[in-house]
Parts: sequence; structure tokens; C-alpha cells
Amino acid sequence: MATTVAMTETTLTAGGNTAQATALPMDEETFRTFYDRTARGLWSYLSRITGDRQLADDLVQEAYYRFFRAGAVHADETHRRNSLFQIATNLGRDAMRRGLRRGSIVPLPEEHDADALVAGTDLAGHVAGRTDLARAMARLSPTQREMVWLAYAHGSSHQDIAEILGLKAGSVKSLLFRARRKLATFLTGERSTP
Amino acid sequence: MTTCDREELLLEVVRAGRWPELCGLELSSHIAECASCAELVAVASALAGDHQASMREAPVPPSGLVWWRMQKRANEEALRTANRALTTIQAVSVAAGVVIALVIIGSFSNGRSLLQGLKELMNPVHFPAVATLAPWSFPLALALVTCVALAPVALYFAFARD
Repeated sequence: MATTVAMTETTLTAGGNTAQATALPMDEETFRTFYDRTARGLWSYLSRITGDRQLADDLVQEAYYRFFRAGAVHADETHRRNSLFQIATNLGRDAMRRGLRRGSIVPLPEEHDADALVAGTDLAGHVAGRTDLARAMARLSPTQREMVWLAYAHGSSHQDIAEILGLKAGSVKSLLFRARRKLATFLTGERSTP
Repeated sequence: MTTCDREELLLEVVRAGRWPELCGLELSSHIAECASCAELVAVASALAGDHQASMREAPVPPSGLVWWRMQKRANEEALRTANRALTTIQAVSVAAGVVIALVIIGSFSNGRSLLQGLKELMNPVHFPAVATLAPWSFPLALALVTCVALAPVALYFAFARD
């Protein structure tokens, strides 16, 4: 009783605005190639936005399954990856909400004001400690965490971030700037704390 | 919101792992003077470093195992869907059986015999088609019973293949 789930991809006609969709089943080999390219990055993303490594283990597998079952049409590899990260983001947010309700995830209070960052501070000279970073990340809002990770760790473009997080492309730049400033403030605070 | 036009270049340097040793004297001195770039480098280098470390330690299962688990789960979900449909059909069949039984029992309790009640139920006056089909009643009844018995099985296989 073999179940085949149709996974399709599109080939874009050269020079045309209309995309001619060529339905191709995502066979095992295609899936494995895609998985090998994306799984570690997805785990890193989920573990950092949720702050829970074990939860990330579960969410990675759930994200691939939902992506697989959705059978969506993707214009190219970037869109396919964005779609996977979008599913993972929603799963991460749901898990965080459930965790907050259960009390297993406790958000840290935001003690610092982002505007309090002192201009000219030699931030660049600081060596990032991973614990400091985890603490600082925990103080950001979920969307800010997702945004800074995608932009500076994963290397996603503003367009990709907008697509993954469901934001307007035009607002990503300013939101990202604020999130970055906030994280820098928290990192400075963490490192100056003995 | 104050940004510097060198931020893109800086990001590339950080992502390529050229910060701070291999970024060049000119860029280093710029960062020392530009608060926005200093902030960017601090955040980006911390995140990029953590990203590289987490990529190395990510405990992701092999792709073959994940594929197998997904297939298994998809099959189980298809089976559950088929079972739900079967349960619905069975419930409707049972409900129909109960209604027919109640009708028969009701006729019997009104002082008529069961056989008489059944005869009245199948009276050609009420169902003219019954008179036409009367010679074929046994084969038809047999076919009907067979269909009712086999329908859930057929549905099961139809959903299972899906």
C-alpha cells in the first residue's frame, strides 16, 4: 500500500511572465537532496527561535512532513526553501505559544531600552559568547528573533524574510534595523555583566 | 534609522569568515568610526559564529530515515481517513436497519402478523415496480445484500490506495 504524495515544481518559460508548471513528483532522491541541503539550517533556525533544542528536533520532522504533504508548486529552489521555513516558523510560533501557556517557556523581561545604545561603543571588538547570544536572543520578540537569525545567520534577503515571516517587503528593512539595534544593546549588556 | 552604505560589504565579509583578521585595514578603521557598522558587525559576527557552530552540531536524522517515516505516516493517515469513512457508512447502515426493524415491529404490535406486515410493506399498490420485479426478487435481494456487504470493503481499498 504505497502512498505517493504529489510534489510539484515549476519550470519558468524563458523571457515570459507566465510560468508553465511542470508537475514532477518529489521522489525519494529529490527529497533527500533537498533535505540534505536544508535540514541543518532549519534545525539551527528552529533551535534558536524557540530556544529549545529538543523541541527543534521534533519541529524539523514535522515541518518536512507538512511541507511534503502540502504538495505546493514552487518556482525555484529559493521559493521551495522559503516555503519550508515559513511552515517551520508557524510551527515554532505555535509551539512557543503552547509552551508559554504550559509555563515550560519563560520569556525574559526586556530590561534595556533599544534607544539606550551608546553610539561609538566598541561593539565590534566584543567576542560573541554563545551563552550571551542565547540570552540576548531570548529577550527579543519572536518575530525579531526570526528576523535577525534569517538575515545575519542564514543570510536571507529582505524579500525572502518577508516571504517567510509573512511581512510586507518594504517594512522588513526598518523592522530589521530595530531588531538589530535591540540585540546589539542586549549583547552589550550581557557582556558587561560579570 | 541611520544606516551605512558599507553594510552590505561588511555582511559579506562576516559571512565569508574574513572578519576580523582578513577584512583589511581600511574596513577596520571604518568600523572603528561608524557606530552603525560596528553594531552590524557585532550582531552579524555573533550570529554567524553561532550559526556555523549549530550547523555542525545539528542532530538531524539521515534523509533516508526521514523519508521512510514520512511515507509511513502518510500511509497511516490515509488508513485513518478510510476508517473514518467506513465507520460513517456502518453507522448509517445500522441506523437504517434500526428504522426498518422499528417499522416492522410497529406493524406487528398493531395486531397484524409479521408476515402480513411485510406483505403490506411490499404491496405493489404502494410500490408498482415491485410487481414488475417480483420474479427476480430473490436474485435482486441477493445482489442488494452483496452490495451492502461489499461496499465498505470496496471503499476501504479505494481510500487505502489514495
